[in-house]
Amino acid sequence: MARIACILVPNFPIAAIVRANPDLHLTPLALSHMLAPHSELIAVSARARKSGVYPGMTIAQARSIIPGLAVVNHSEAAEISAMDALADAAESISPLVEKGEDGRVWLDLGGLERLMGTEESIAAELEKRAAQVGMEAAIGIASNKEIAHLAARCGGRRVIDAESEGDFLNWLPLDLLGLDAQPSTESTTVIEDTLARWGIRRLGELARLDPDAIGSRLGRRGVELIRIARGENPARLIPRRPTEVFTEALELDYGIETIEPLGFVMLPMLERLCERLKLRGLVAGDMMLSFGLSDHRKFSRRVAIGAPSNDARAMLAMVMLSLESLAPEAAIETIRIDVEPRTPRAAQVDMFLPPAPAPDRLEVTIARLAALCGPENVGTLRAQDSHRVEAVRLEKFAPPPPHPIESNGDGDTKNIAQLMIRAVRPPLEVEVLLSRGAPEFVRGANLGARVVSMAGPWRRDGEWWQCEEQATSSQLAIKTNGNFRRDYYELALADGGVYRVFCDLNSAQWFVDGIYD
Amino acid sequence: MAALPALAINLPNVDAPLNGQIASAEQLQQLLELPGVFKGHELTRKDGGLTCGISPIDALIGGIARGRISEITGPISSGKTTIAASFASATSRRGEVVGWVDVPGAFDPRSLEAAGADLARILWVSFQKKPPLARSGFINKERERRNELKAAEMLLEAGGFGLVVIDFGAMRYPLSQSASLRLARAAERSGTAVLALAAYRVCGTFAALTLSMSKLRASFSRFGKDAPALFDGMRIEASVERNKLGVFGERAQLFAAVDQMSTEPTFLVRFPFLQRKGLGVRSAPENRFAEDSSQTLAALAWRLGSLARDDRKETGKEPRIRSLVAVY
Repeated sequence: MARIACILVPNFPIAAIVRANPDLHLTPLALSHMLAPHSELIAVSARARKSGVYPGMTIAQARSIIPGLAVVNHSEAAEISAMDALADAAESISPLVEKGEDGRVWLDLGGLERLMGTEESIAAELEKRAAQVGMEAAIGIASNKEIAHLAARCGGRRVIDAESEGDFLNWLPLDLLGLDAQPSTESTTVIEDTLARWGIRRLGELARLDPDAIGSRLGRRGVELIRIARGENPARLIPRRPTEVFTEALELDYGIETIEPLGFVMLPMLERLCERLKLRGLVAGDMMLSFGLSDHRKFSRRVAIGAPSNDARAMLAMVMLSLESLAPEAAIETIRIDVEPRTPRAAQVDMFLPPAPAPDRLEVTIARLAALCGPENVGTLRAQDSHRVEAVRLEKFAPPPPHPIESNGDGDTKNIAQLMIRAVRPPLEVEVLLSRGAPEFVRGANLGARVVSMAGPWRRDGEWWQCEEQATSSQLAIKTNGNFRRDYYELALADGGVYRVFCDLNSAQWFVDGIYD
Repeated sequence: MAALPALAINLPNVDAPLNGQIASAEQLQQLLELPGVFKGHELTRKDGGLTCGISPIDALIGGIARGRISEITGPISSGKTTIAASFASATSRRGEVVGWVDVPGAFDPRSLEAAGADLARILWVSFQKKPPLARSGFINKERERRNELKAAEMLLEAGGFGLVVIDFGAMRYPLSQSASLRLARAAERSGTAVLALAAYRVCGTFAALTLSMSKLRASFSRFGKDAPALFDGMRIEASVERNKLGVFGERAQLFAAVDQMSTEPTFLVRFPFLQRKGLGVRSAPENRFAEDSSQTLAALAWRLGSLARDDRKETGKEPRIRSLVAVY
């Protein structure tokens, strides 16, 4: 027999808002379509309800009872994000998940006992994962969707065995069918009143009535209620399609005009996204940002993530760096972040190989470093295939797999070291005094010394084939893409340093571009 | 029976009974006595330091310790970058990953590659071009330094790096005690050797080793009497200024060559005809860089030119050598 679990978030519109704004967790809260004093409340938090505020009151009435009542605009975007998050939490347990409405999600538990143990432990795990995505949920487990839903409506965690489902339904108060929560139509009000007039207060009493007689009196909905009460509901689980993009959206009550406060709003959104991805065993790839602006325009930006990770701060830093280069032109009123999920790269540690950074941690580290010092400053720096000695290119850091250690010591020792050059980027312009055509004194920023020994000049003349017109210009060759003509010298100065100096023949200027060290 | 620790076995030439499961503690002990066998957690043994493959330095300090901070100090052109690059090259050649935090932006991949480094295993992190946030003016020097240390700590936190080199450039002031302590703790947790490269000592008492470098002389040579000079390299001296794990006060000298191949006599090719005229040609092996070859060829061209002039002077005829075309 199938076993179905229902995750139910009570008072879902409020829960979705609290998820998006965790600061409101301890505040009496109400939702309304408008924030004018005469607007009616459409949902209130348990804390506000306890003080006597109910849906249908105007904001002014509610504030007369609770002066500090927080009233927030109803946000459809926050509810959609919360539903997706709830479905993700369910999908981290079972692949067959049906996404309902108003904070209801069902999942098929078939075959999960071997993986996760008893149904009680599965219910506890579901509750924990719902909390991980920012919502307090009730869990019900039964043999079909409706009974699981009714069990969840009882609150907490409730597992109904197949044998005891009849007893459970017999005992269940009629209120739990949620007739008051249905759209307030005439028929539901009539059914509720009629059943109350008949003295029927529990589902068991309803189940014992004749469906044909009820059908003739209460219509199709009455028969459906009897089927639910008897546990005969044939509704099947309709699994949702696997998620291809993870989305978090938020509608703001105010416009954000500068980038810094945007970070404070986006960080919790990214953290929630990362939590959802983590639950599914995925990492965040490229991001698509969509902002709704105060002048009714849309602003979109794709942020490429070189090293997919679940580090929200690193992702935020990448977003901020991207927005700083080209910021939106008007205040931001809605935010939507779509993240393409990626599977984390798997790797297994081999104990016969030298230790190497774990691929996922390395990716996160590179992303964080790129956020700290700029993506153009992190990676593998290589010499470019060019005749210019200063030409380098940056590649993505992807170390090859380590090779086995051949011996405990080093076999290839030598007596002579390779002398290094410390590059000076960009080349430092200096003044060189010449004597009979040879450098005699070098003077520049933080530099001024007599030449002790010298080697050179070594002529380097190249890239004349690239740009003829630039070669004839008087611009600095090192700053253009044109040709270069340089005479290189190695100068040992009286200050103790050995410098690589060149004279740019296009501009007759001297530069230091390296220090032997 | 208690679970046996994991074994990392490195046995190139030893026939060991490894086919079956290790049954007893005695067999484990026997295995551990074999050369090249050590326990898994000892893969990053602190006693086995990282060597640089340069005999005088390895003999002097025996390698730098993993999980500790070592410093290489010295003024400009003292050879400190050369020694640090030797450690990075040797570590990358062994298959380990190296992080290089390049504060002044002085990393030169050409010379590091010439030293035999596997650049694919060296993660370069620089602060040369500041991100836009840091360009806004309110970032002070102290904050920049914090960022550099933060970058180093991120590398250490990632784990698995064999060596992290922090090139502080010409920084004149030591790190604060708390910063040094944080770095030392991070190094200890990760088991990574940290090499600080600076003009002066920067980590104070938290450095396990301080190697002070100095230049003895820069070496220039000529082919002939009037030939242009070539810069061959520098003779440098390393002295152990501080060593928590061994002796200190010892010194060693070594030569750092611009072109290592030129110092090898086997690569010096001499043609009898040219030798009479005092001309030596250094061959250009495949892995030599273009600039080294160009220097040699330029010297050769100069010498050939002077020979041609001599010929014309002596014989009054047109020289036999008209031109030299160098292709590299």
